[in-house]
Amino acid sequence: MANEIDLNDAFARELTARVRTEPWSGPKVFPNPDGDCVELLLSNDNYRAERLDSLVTVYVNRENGELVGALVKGVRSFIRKMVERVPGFEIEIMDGKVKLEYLFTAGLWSHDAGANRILVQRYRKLREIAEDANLEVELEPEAV
Amino acid sequence: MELADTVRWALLHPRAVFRGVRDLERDVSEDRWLCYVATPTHAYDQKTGEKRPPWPGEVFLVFVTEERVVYNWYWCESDRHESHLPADYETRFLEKVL
Repeated sequence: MANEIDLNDAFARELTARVRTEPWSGPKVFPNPDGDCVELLLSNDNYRAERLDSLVTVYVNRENGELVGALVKGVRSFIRKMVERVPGFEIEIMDGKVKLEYLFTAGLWSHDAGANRILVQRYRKLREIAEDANLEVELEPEAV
Repeated sequence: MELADTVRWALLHPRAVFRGVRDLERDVSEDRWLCYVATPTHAYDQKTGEKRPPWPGEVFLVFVTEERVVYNWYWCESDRHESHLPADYETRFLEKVL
């Protein structure tokens, strides 16, 4: 199967033109309303994805196993569920934004205490990073 | 470069396509979302943007919503027995459609 992609077409040229060349300064949060997900990137290291559970996929550095980022999926339904189950959670949504650490905390709590060690470690690390960097995610109005 | 090249190549040359995300605990409505699985002939170094051989022991996944919007893509570990499929493919999707 040869490479049939024309890297000189308009789409490729448009993307290439958008590539940023400045040094990485992280972490960064990328909300994606179409995919109802939020992506968190801590560095531009090479990574492979590892699915933690149905809420979070982590990006792991292939060389040293360090966290490079994460993808939080199903944010709308997750927030809706949280507000239904714990009405007080709505208090944590300020000006349509919620702290990313709360999503990781809620994700961690959705597992039983005996959940596997790596999963718990990953969640705790993500929560710590989100808290330290005071990361927030902006919600669409209908999400709340 | 992944979006310009690898993602488009994967959509044209899937080794498998899965539908839906299996999730019994959460109320997710992703039953019609698709995951394209491909084994591209090359990859890109995310730091330098340079072309390189495909990552060994990994497959490339592209996720598509029911409106057919590509919303994410990444390399992940392949299954030990079915090396052209992602690890845990039997439990993470509703069904294999291709």
